[in-house]
This record gives sequence, structure tokens and C-alpha cells, in this order.
Amino acid sequence: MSIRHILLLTSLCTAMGLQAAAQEQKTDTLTTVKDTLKAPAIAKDSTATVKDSTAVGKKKRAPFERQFRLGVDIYRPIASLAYRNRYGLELMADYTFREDKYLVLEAGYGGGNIDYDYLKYNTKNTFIKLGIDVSMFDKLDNKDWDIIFVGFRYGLGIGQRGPATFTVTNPFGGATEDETPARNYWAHWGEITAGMRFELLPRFFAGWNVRAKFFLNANTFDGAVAPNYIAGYGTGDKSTSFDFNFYCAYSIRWYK
Amino acid sequence: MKTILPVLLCLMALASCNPDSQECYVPKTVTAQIGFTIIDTIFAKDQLGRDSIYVSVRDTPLNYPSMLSLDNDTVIRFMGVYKGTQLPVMFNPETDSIRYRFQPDSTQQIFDTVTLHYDHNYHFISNACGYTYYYNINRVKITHHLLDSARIATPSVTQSAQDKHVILYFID
Repeated sequence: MSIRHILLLTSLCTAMGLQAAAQEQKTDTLTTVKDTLKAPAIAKDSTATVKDSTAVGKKKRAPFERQFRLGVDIYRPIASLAYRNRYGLELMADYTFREDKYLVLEAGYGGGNIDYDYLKYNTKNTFIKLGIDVSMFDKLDNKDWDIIFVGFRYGLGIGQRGPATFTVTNPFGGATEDETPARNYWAHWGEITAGMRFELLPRFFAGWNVRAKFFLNANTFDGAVAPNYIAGYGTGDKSTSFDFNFYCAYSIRWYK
Repeated sequence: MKTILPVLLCLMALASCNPDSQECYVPKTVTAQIGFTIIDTIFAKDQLGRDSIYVSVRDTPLNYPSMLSLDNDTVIRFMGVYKGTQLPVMFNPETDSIRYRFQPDSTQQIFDTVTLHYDHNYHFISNACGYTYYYNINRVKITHHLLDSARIATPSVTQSAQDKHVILYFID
């Protein structure tokens, strides 16, 4: 992972942290104002006043409508029609832990195969990703759940590449065929992502993500066969990868 | 939904433009670079009248040098350029040594034989390129018609294009 990638991830995290702090400050100001307005009404009851001051100390947030959304990536199966040597299924779930922030969990499986004259093998893996999406715009109203967001992920994949048979040509004529044994591997990577979710029908969403991914342990395959496809990441022999997902999702909501 | 379908179809069309197999953009066969260096020795006397020896070691350009492989069914000849200071050579992975007939100057029928001893191992380049051989040079033997000596500068022969692996020395 190059220094540029680290700087990029760090600056993104810092930017999101600053935004979170600003949002928190804004909420606190509102709470304080609310308490001040209520103060004359409850001034007679000293116990209630003490309670309110404690609430300010704990930085109690105003309740808001929570949403849990579960989606499936429909681009991956469609893409496997074009890319015959890779397949996969990806699911996503997110939860609004702040009004403009979503805790995201993504998981899936997939695999690939190489069937060239000089190289043949199969590979498969499962993966899990954890991260946060931050909405770029404020809600128009309480019923507005459409978002345009940026986010980041940490991904972890575990898989196995089957035995690989290969042929190496000799410049003085002929070729040698050999086999390298199967190998288990694990891969982890970071992602920066951006995208949209739109509520097409009540509680039904559609939306897409574009992703830039940075392999954190790319050297694990140095000199050995790198899987042509690591589900969740992309091409195993490249240290950066770009991807696209198109999700259809359903959400449930409750007030808390 | 009406707007999403065309977007999806466009993405599919873009995706289908990508070929299923990848192109290999790096050389699949690695070569060792043989460099030429001249050792120029000048005998003189210094200002105090003492005998002095000035030794100058520098890369020397040769006049269309060439390397011709020996002992193999397929003959490979590497032709250098005018004033070339290095030449590539290939290895045969089925043997542990290879001989080349070295002609430093295309206008003179004077040859030396360079024998390279090596071992090899497989190296995975990429899915697009597959495997190749990497080599490790153990020993270099030469004849001494024009050459003085040889030295292994970088034993490991990989895809690195920067290295000079063997230096051949001439004495002026």
C-alpha cells in the first residue's frame, strides 16, 4: 500500500471525523436551547431541573427515525455474463446510527477460473466488509431517505486457489508443463466508495456504488499464482482495483 | 425504474467490450545483460621521476558485437548495435549451462567463448502472462583470445531491465 493510498484514507477519515464533530456540536446547541426554553416551566420542581442538567451533561440526542436496509447487488450476476471467468454474489446491510451516517456491512462469495493455454486453475472465496457511509446532503424532510454518500470500508476475504497447471516455453524450443499445488489465502483491503440510494417505492431502494480499492497485503502472492478474481476485491494480481455495484434493497424503520 | 434500465444496459454494453482474456505487456522470457568494460593501463613516470601505473576502468563500446548460442538445436544470435556497450543472452532451462560464441568486433574474425553456469526456478508474472523462468548465475568461464576476465555483477536474472549481470573485461 503506497503512501498516497494511506494519505487518501487518512484525509477521508479526518474529513468524516470533523463532519461528525460539527454535527454533534450542532445537536448539542439545539438541546441546550430547548432546555433553556423549558426551564421556566419546570423551575418550580427542583428535581426535574437536576434531571435536565444531567441530560445536557450526557449530550442526549434528539430521537430520530432509524432504518435498517438489506440489499442485493444485481450488477454482479449480470457482469458474470460478460466476464465468464468470474462469478459472485454480494449482499449489503446498513443501519442509520446517526441521521446522516450509516453503518454498513457487506458480505458475499464468488470465484473465478483461468483456462488459458499456458495457465489453468479455479479459485473461490468469501468476504466481509465493514464501513461507514456519510450522506453528503441534509434531508429535505423526515420522509426523505434518498442519499448521495461517500464512505469507506475495510474488507477481509478468505479463499482457496485450486491447483494450477502451467506451461512455460523454452526460447530454445519446446515447452515444459508443471503444476503448483492448491493454496489457501486471505486478503484484506481498504476501500473508498461513493454512490446513491433512491427510494423508488415505499421502503424499496435502488442505488449504486463506485469503489476504489487498495490491496493491503498484495505481496502475499509474490511469485505465486494470484487469483484472477477475489470476490469483494477484484483482480488478485493488482494492488488497486475499481468496482461498481448496483443494489436493490428493502428497508424497515422504527422511531427511537 | 425507466431511467435505471438504460443505465444498466449501458453498463452491460461497456462491460461486454472488455475481452475475457488479458493481454500480456511484459516480456515472458528474461535475458541476462552482458556488459563490456576495458581496463586501460598506462605506465608512466610522475613529476618526481618515479614509475607510475595509471589504471582506467570504463565501459567500452564495441563495433557491432554479437553472441551466438552453441550446443543447442535452435541457434540464437544476439546482434549488438554500433558502439554497443552490452548484449543480452538467453538461458536454456533444460540445461544448467550454456555456451555463447562472442565476437567483439564484426569486422574481425576473432572469437571468445563465454560459458554461463546457472540454475533456474519458476516465477509467476501475472494471470495475463503466466509463468516464466528466473535464473541465478553461479559461474562464468571464458576463453582469453581478446577477453581478460569476467565477473558476475548481479547473479539473479529477473525481469529487471536495469541490471548488468555479467561484466566482460578487455585489456587494452
